[in-house]
Amino acid sequence: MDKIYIISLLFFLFALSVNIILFFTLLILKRNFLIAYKTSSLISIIIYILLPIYLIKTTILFYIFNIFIYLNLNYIFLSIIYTPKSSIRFQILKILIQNNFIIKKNNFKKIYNDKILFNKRIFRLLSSKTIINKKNFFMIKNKKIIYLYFVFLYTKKMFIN
Amino acid sequence: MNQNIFLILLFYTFAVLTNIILFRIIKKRHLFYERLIFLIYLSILIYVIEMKNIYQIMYVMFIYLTLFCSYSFFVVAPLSGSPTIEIIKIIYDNNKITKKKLLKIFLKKSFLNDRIKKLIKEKYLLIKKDKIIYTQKNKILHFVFQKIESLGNKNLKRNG
Repeated sequence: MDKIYIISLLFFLFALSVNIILFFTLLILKRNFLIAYKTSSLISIIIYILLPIYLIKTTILFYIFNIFIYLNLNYIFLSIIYTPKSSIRFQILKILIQNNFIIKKNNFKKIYNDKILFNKRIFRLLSSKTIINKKNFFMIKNKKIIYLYFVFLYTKKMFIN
Repeated sequence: MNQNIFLILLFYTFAVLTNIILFRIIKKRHLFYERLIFLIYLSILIYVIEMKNIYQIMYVMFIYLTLFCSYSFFVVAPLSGSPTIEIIKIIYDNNKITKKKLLKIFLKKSFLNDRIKKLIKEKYLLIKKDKIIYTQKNKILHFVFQKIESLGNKNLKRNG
């Protein structure tokens, strides 16, 4: 019974390692970032669900709980790898690093401003088909994004009344 | 074992609730206090659960740390604001909207100035006359940026 904890930890590490190795291999093979992430995480999740199947014999709740924790690990992995790409703060620091740590305000505003940020995000939303451009009007195509918007909204409301 | 799972989830919920209450009182996210609250609840949790061996302690700490990291990453976007979600919000509120009008509403909130102010507050940046200076001069970060940029599809460069 005591072995179950160390085995669970080893399973976490194994599945996460598969995810990381597969993800970077796909990136080196010049695959799209999101496709690489989706493929690697899906394979690792399947591995993780199948690997500790014997845990069901001990307790089904422990097995389900471990899968839930593994999904959390996947989310953390995504957050870590995606932050340098999407974070505004990281983008600001990147521009400064590329300009030997110092830049004039005007030059900075030419490279990166709210309009450029807007265009980049619009391009990303159009590419992922989350929104569509129909006769010069933007509309939401993927309705799942609305759920995400409400999750964000209610999370914010919980903190800021 | 089931009891341990419930205790982990219970103490994690207490930690999250305490953080929400603290946020409502001091009106901002304070990483030091946030970590301290999670650490205090973890200490109580380890004390409450009957630990049989070192592996069980490692397991509980690992689970708790994973849940804490998920929480930390999750609350960043709703609390500091996400440009993508802002665009979705504007389109959702207007049902359908032209790019010009969308941009006009979007520009009312300056995400860039907000982030620059935060970086100045966190002492990463310094404004001197008409110049922006990066004070940390982190070479490791530079290396990480270069490596990530060099990997993957070219479309990634359109992120930001």
